Formats: sequence, structure tokens, C-alpha cells
Amino acid sequence: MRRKYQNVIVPLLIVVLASSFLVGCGGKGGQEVKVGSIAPLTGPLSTYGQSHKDAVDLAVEQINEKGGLLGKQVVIVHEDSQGDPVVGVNAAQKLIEQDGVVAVVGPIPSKIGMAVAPIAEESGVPIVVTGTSPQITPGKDFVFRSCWTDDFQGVVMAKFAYEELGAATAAILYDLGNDYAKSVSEIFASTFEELGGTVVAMETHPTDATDFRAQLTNIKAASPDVFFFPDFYNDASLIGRQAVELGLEAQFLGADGWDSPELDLETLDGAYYCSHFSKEDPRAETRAFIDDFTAKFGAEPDLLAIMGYDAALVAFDAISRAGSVDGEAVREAMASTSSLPAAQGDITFDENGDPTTLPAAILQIENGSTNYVMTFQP
Amino acid sequence: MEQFLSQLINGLQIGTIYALIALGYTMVYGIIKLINFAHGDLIMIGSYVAYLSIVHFGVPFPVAFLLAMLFCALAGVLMDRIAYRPLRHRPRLEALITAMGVSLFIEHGARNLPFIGPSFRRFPDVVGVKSYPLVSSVVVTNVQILNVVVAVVLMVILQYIIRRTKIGMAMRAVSLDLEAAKLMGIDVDRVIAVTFAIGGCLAGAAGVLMGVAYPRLSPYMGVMPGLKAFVAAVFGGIGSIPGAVVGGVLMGVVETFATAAYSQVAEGVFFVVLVAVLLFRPTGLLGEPIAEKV
Repeated sequence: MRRKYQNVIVPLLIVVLASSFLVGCGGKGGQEVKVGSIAPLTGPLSTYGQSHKDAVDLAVEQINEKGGLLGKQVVIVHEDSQGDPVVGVNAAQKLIEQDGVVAVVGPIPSKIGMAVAPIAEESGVPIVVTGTSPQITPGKDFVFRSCWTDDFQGVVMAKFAYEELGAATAAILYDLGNDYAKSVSEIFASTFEELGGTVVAMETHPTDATDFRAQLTNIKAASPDVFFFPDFYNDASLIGRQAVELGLEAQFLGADGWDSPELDLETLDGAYYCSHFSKEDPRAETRAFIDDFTAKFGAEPDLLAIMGYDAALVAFDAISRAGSVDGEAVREAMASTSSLPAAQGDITFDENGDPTTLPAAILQIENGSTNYVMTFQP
Repeated sequence: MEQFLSQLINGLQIGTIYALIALGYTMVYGIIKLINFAHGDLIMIGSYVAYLSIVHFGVPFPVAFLLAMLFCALAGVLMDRIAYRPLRHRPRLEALITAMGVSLFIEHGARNLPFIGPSFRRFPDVVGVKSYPLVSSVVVTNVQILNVVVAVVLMVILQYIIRRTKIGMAMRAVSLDLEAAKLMGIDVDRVIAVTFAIGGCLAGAAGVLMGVAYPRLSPYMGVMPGLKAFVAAVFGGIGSIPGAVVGGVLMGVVETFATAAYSQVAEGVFFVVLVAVLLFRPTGLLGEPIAEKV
């Protein structure tokens, strides 16, 4: 480096770096109640993030119209996890340390939830995740969830396959690096076998793989009655397409990760998957949410939206019952949430922080739209 | 038996794509002894060029294919001109690090461009997929046939260029001995640019084939295939063109069979092969054993 530039560049760098420490010296208190939200706004799961963000914004708007929380307006700080646990962790740290949020809504999906949960636990900030992997909440006091877990979902899908569809054999394909898909698959497999069925093939693929033909060829050779591939919507669409190309004839089954406007409805026509609510549900709170969301955003909410909305409701309810923004007080209030009328159903937490009374709806893809089939109660 | 055949077809499909990419790696290495880590990202550029021209400009598929190849050839030449040429006479490590930098630049740059963006894009269904039954329950799709045929045609054209044209002869000369070629009056910079262009062309073609076969585009889609193709090129003998083809196809087939056998660890098989090759036959299957001057 030229001598004369060294004396300018180095001090300049030091100043720039030092000033980055001063960014966002905020704190709790003040004229507003700050709540954080983490979702994959960009990246491979962007429809999840958008739905979550829209629903949370709706919840914030509604609570502010009613006067806010603790007499102050609620301000939501959205952070993008990009679908990456590392970015999600950074986002959580920023929300907690720099923005001083009272609670965090999200993240989704489960692998980000798993990464962020310990941080919430250590910093004493309650977090309401919207992922379904059962490992996120147990043993942590500050981690709650606004939806049912894969323990329930896996059982639901296995029962549906065995009892309703009369399947005797099942094949499974899931993403190795996807905590959610892994847990649903394992629970599905064990439940299906307990019911009396046989899992004839259990294949995996690495994250971001685009070629599944090797695994699909194996599955095709095993001739299963049902083929369960609970990956997220983008992987599921690819898998479905290749399965059809290879001539794999089995009833396709999915899980709540399929719910997205970008799911390939054409290829997956006739498949069933599991969701957290049905758009035809007559329950008052569910209808109110669907109507409000459609009115505000011009499109119907998907299950990411409803989970995000309920997560926000849980957080707001806890803060208002705690009567303060102190982390421990909010946590205690949240843990004692009971029969909170949320959009999915009434939420009562068990000792892990999971809701115990939310139903699951089975949907079928037919002719480019999803239709309600039946409900499973826990 | 049918399963074996099915898996073989699967392996050939991905293997020919790896071969196309590996050719680019091997040609550039042969000529300037540089492993162009940014080569994988040319795949991504090719895919997106085809995607954008079909979706936004309504261009027919074959034209989009040629456009992608052209664009990537240009990108390859630009890469050389801007990033590698200034470092031609510097230690190879510098060019290697620069190559990684170029790769990151392309990936993150693409991610931030509004018409590419960080979210996945779906490649349009331009080749209506039809399955043809082969033997009992074994099917082969028209996409798979297209894939293999296009790849083979390109490789044949490449072989013709290398063996039967003057520029091909110049490329062979430069890869044998850069200084001597210069002394013989060959415009080495031009030859290198042509090599990058051809490598880019092939990568662009591979990108479009990938887009058709696995219709999910993302700014990082070239990373893994690039890495795997690099391993394939080393496996076949880096610097050897037949080696790249053999390496690519073999690795594609090996990967498919490994995935079929035990899908959980199948991805690791690539890197096990890489380590094994480097331990036991570092010059690869068809590479020339390097005689050391004592």
C-alpha cells in the first residue's frame, strides 16, 4: 500500500468500525412496547416469511386500534432470517440486545427455532415460535409455541393414511438437514408401524438437493400405497414432479410445510396434506381472522399467517396480563395462558409451552385448489 | 435389474451435466493452471439468462439456450480479463484467492439484483415432460434424452475444435508450454480468452440443462454442482479433456448409486473419492503422471 494512503485509510477504517458499535443504542421503556419478529422474508422459504409478517402486522394493527398494550402503542420490529439459522441467530441477538424487545414472535422453520431458542432462554426474553419440531420447547422456560407439534402431526398423518385411506405400506422421503421434516417423518413412521402398517422405504436427501431420482427409484421399486414427503413446499414440488416423471404411483401425502401459494398444485393434484386450520371452519375467531386478513391483504391467509397471528396474540395477551415489560413477569403470564381465543383454536399451554387443544385439518389438492377433508382433534 | 437400469439412466443424466461443467474446469486448468472456482457460478448465470429470456422476452427455447451459452462465454472472458489477466505473472495462490472472490461476488451480486433476487425461481416448463417406457417398468423421459444428447453433441463439437482447428491447436500448445507457445508467435492472451469463452459456453449449456431437469433456480445453485464437477475433473485427471468427460459421467453414476444404496451419507461419497484420488493417484484416472525432474 502506498505510504501516504496508509495514514488515511487505517484511521478511517478504525472510525468506521468503532461507529458500528454505537448503532442502535436502544433499550426497554420509552413510549412504546417493542415486539420482535423473525421470519424468512427472503430466500427459499420467502412465502412463509411474507405470510408471517403480514399476519403479525395485522395483529399489531388490531391491538393498537384497541389502545395498544399497557397504555402504549405496540411497535413491531421485523427481522429477516433468510431461512438460515446463522442469520436467524444474529437477528435474534439484534432484536434482544439492540432493539430491546419485550417478546419475539417466530421464528419459522423449526431449525431456526432450535437455534434461536437457547438465546431467548439465556436473555430472559419470551419467544413464541411457529415451528412444529417437538424439541424446541421442552426444558426451556422462555420458549413457547403457537401451534401443535410434529408429535401430533405425525400421528394425524399416519392415522389418516392407515385408517382413512386404508394404506398398508408407506414410503417416506425427507430432507436430512430439515429438523421439522425429520421429526414429522420419524413420528409418522413409528405411528404407522404401531397401527399395523409397514414402512417399506425411508429415504433421505441432503438439503438443497435437486435430484431425487435415485431415492425415488428405490421407493418406486418398493411399491408403497402412500408416499409421504413432508419437506417444505419448494422441495416437495420438485420431488412430486420427479416422482410423477418416474411413474411412481402411490398416494402422495404431505404435511404443513406444504402450505404455500407457490406449491405446485398441478403436479401434486390428488395429494393430501395436514394444516392448522380450514378455511371453511365456522368458528367465530377463525372466521374473523380469515375475513380481516383477506380484507387487508386481498388474499386468503395460509397456515403460516394463522400461526404468526396467534403467536402475536399469545405475546400480547401475556404482556397485558403481566402488566409490565419485565421478562420474567411476561414469561410467567405466558406460561399460564389458558383458553386464549386464538384464530386456530383456544390456546392453553402445557408444561412445555405447547398448546394442547389445537385441531389439525386434512386438506386435499384438487384441480388447482385445496379442499377441506376432515379434522383431527388432539 | 430394472432398478439398476433406472439408476444408471439417472446417473447418466446428472453425470453428463457434471461432465460439461468439468470440461470448463479442466480446460482452464490445463491452460493457465488455475482452478476457476467461479466456474460453478457460470451455471447459475446460464440458467437465469435462459429463464429471463423465456419468461420476460418470450424467446423460444432453442434461442434461449444459445443466448445462455453466449452470455456465459462473455462472462467467462470478462472474468479472465478483469480478474485473472492482471495476475497472470503472479503466484498462483493469488489467482486462486481471486477466483473465490469472483465466485462470491457473482453469487451475492446476483442475489441482490431485483430480477434475480434471493428467492427461488421456477424454470418454465418449455420441454413438456413425457415419459417413455423402456424395459418393463423402467422409464426414460424426453428431458433425460435431451440432456444426454445435447451434452454429447457439445462434447463432440469441442473435440472437433480442439483437434481439427487452428485455435484448438493453439490451445493445446499453450497448455503444453505457455512460454514456448509465446515464443512461437501464438497470441497467448487471445487463446486464453477463447478457452474461457468455450468453458463458459459449456457451463451455460449445463446451466440450462439443469434448469430444465431440476427447475429450481437460486443464486447459489451453481455452488454444489460446481464443487462436484471440480471433484469429477480431478478424478478424471485435471487438465485432460477426456478425463473430464469420464470423470463427470462416472461421478454422476457413482453418486446416484451411492444415494440409492444409503441416501444419508451419499453426498459424502464425492469427497471420499476426492481424498482417495489425491492419496493414490493424484493425477487422476486419465491424467498424465507428472515426472519429476531430479
